[in-house]
Amino acid sequence: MLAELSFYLWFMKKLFIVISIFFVSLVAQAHPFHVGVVEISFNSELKRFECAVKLFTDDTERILRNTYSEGVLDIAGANELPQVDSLLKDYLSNTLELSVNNKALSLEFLGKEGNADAIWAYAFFKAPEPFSTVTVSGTMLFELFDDQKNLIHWQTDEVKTHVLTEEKPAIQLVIQ
Amino acid sequence: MVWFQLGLEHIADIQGYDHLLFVLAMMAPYSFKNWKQIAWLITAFTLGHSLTLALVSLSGPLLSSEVVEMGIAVTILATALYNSSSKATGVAVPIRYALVGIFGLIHGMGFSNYFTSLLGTEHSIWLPLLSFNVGVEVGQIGFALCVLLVQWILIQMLQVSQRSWQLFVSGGAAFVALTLILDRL
Repeated sequence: MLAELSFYLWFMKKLFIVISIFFVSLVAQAHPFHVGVVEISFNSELKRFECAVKLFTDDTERILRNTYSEGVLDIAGANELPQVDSLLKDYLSNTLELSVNNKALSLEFLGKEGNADAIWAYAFFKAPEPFSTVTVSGTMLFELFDDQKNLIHWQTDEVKTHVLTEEKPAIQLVIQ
Repeated sequence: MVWFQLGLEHIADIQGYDHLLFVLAMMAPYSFKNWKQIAWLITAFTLGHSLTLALVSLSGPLLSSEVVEMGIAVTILATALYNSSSKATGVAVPIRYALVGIFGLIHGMGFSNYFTSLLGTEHSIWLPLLSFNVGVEVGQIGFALCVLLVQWILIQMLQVSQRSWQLFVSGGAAFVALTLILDRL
């Protein structure tokens, strides 16, 4: 009885160790999450869509460096390279697309601000012709992270939120 | 509803497994027949994390996100160690509920960190906050039920003892928590 018990304990200890090692092999990440935020509203006086785009600074740094084969850009830092704004503008023109009546609108870049955590980029899309729906496509950072979620906050008299992912990168908004 | 889904996806996200790991460790000493204790534990945890999720989202972060992430890892380790030292399986003393509630406060700060990064600037925060929290809850309860099911299979059908399960889960959770802590130092 004693021999069986001590064998049992030995076995359980070994099993415990093996299973623990298995758990350890699950690499511990510091809980990274991949999110972009786009606030869109329509300025009916100026007949344009006004957008504010928030992206994490480190992700933006990576994607601009990758896309444009650049070295350290120090986005929103003290030594930010002068080409950052135009690279960002180019990147957003290719990834944030608004279409009205099946025609793509062109992005006009206003500028950006931010810090080491996140940057906000401001842009507008002129839409002089009347329309009833607008299609928004936001594929920023999808090529870098397959779990990237870009949230669209469509602001009218209330805020309606949509989530864009690699599986569903575009949404159609109906204007009343 | 978008925010409900975001809350559900956040807790169920396998890459952010620390919240699920905590729930797993928290439930290790209990099985289906201890449903009352489990219900109270989950309630205590929910009260804790709902409180800080709301407070921190409304008034701003209390602790830096690094400290919070470290805190979450510590809650997992503490729970696992508590399980290992406690001789009682299936029993929950009042201190356990209090501890779980306090740990909930820390997890809530972690949720808030994520939740606030999703908001735009002109948001009335209440409905998104509520929906997000409900999503987190539903995800948690769903996971808890899955754990209980797996446990039931192991204990009832494969004759694993509750105590062995408790130690095994706690040991694994403690190890992962240690690696998280070392990683977040």
